[in-house]
Amino acid sequence: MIQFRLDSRSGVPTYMQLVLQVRQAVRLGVLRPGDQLPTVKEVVETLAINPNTVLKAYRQLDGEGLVEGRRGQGTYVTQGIAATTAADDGSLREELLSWVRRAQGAGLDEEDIDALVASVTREAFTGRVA
Amino acid sequence: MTAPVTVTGPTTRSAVRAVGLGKRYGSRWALRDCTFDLPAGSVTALVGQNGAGKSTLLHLAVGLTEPTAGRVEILGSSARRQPRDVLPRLGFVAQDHALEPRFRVADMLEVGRRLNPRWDAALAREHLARLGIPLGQRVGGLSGGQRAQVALTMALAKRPEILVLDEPAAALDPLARRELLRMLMGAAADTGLTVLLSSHVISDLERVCDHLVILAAGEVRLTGPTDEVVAAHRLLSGPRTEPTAVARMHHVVSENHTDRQTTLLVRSTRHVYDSRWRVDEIGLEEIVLGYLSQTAPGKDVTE
Amino acid sequence: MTWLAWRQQRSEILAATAILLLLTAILVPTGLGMAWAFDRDELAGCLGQTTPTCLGALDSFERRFEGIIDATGWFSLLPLLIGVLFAAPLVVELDRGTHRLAWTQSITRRRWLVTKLGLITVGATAYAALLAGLITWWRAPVDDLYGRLRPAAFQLEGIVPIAYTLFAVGLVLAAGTVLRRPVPAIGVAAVLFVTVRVLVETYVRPHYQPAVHLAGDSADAPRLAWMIRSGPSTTYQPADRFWLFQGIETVTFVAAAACLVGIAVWRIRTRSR
Repeated sequence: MIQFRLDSRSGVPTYMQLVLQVRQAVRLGVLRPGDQLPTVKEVVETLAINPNTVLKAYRQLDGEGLVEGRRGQGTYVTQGIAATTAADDGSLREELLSWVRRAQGAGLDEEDIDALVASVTREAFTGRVA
Repeated sequence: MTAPVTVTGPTTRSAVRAVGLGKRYGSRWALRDCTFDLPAGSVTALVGQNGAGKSTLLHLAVGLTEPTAGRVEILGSSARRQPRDVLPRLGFVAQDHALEPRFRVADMLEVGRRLNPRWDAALAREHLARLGIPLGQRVGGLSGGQRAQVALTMALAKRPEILVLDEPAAALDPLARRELLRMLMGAAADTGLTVLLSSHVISDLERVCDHLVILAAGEVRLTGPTDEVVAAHRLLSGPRTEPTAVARMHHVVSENHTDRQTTLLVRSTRHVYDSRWRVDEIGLEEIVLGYLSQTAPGKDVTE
Repeated sequence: MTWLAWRQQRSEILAATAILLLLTAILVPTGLGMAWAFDRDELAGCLGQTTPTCLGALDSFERRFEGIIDATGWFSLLPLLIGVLFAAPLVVELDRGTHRLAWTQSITRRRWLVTKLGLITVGATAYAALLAGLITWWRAPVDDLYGRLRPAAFQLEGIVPIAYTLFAVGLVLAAGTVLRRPVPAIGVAAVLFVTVRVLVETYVRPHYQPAVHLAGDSADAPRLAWMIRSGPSTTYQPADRFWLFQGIETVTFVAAAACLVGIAVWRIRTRSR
């Protein structure tokens, strides 16, 4: 069983925090296919949050095919998440490593690099002008 | 037990509807031209500063006061005009809890049993036992948190379809506040209860509420589902300017200026082409603060 | 709802009961003593007589019971006390806002109001009637000697104490709903109660029926009459008008009480907070 936590300062919407935690747990193997998610009431009473938020999170996970709501029984994990293939992982990692080395060479410290990566990542995913 | 999606019914059914609602005390309008519609099954926060008209609005909704203008309906009927249709389906927790201080807790439960056809005595006793509130204790001798819990228990044991709470957590310490919200949300999850609560404390609202009504100076400034409200607002920061150009494209809610920088809270999802402006997402709490600090009132409804 | 109304008024009803029991404990023994002394000295045979034996017996009866008879003059405030005990809890409830508890349960405001007012009026009437009966019994020997149409007796006996009590209830409710604060409301109600009672007694009651005029002084008036003016010429109300005057006074005060309760009901129904 997964135990949800909330970070009220993260700025990530509550339902999305729940979605991310389930995905993470499935990815890490904490939740396996067939495992049951906590009931809406359990989540609501532990976290003191709106039941509709939990419903929304579970609906989204259901829509992604990650979990399945069985009427009158509960919500169950249906499948694992395939991690990116090792080969992809390896080559991407190498490219990033060489990029970080270049950045170091150009005089950026760890914080600078982190900020730059975060900024570019966000730009790529939101498509918005920073 | 799974998500009780069907229990809440179609979300189009209206739980609380106000149309042009207004209340005047003497020559002062405590509430003016209020219009909103809250769907059944929603948990709505009515936010505003002290004196914004929140209590007035809630008292009008539950029929404790008569409107000067317009109307307000709960579950399709007026609590004032058709009390028999509304009162048994409505739970109300007043800001001061409106309990008899001389009564014992058990007496309060007896009041509930005698005055309500759908009273659930087992639920009331179980709630109080879980919270460790002794039935033999006098209400006047309870702590603020315990009184709030007794009042909420009284309201929940009516088995209401809608629960209206006036500043339920205002006088509570953080732990009691969390405990109260836990109990409230648990009840909402159980029965698909519609909840309307007022608050001047805006932290925690995002996790508790899915709808929002922002009230300032007796007027509704914003109403809508919280996720749509959050999605519809952006924070723009850029060089110090008068925001006329931006205002032409984006509705400016509030603005802040320092010597060098201007920060704008805008209600808009449009792209900002001027690259001097930095665009940021903004949380619910800051959006609410933006509306509450608004200098020029303007009414906005997020559809 | 009756249970709630009773439970909310319980302390005050118990206080009223305690007062009633205390007065019973005082009045029954003294009343019996007074009746016993009245019989022993055969005062009934002395009524209207002026023989030295009778005058002596009357004198000693008077000296023996003067103190307690005078003390019962304070009983004219009992209707106010009972009225406050029964009506004030409702005013306090409206002030504290606990009426909102009942108003948001599943009963209508009309039923709440009818039950509340019903308990208040029935309770106040019952306690006032018991007290009035007790005092009327107690004063019987005194009345035989001095008459009961005199204000000192009239206000304590018969049915007017009930009407005064309801009047006090009306004053407290009306003042409470208009002023919205219990303590000032009770103060105002008490002042008005005493003022109206004095004004009625002084200026209105003597004219319920045309008074009888005499050329002579009060000695020529019939026994037990209420002397309104004595001196060279005398004005009085004959003693046999007691129940007529009680009826007129009762109707007057009950009507006033009804108007005052009407004001309270109107104020409660149009409450805006």
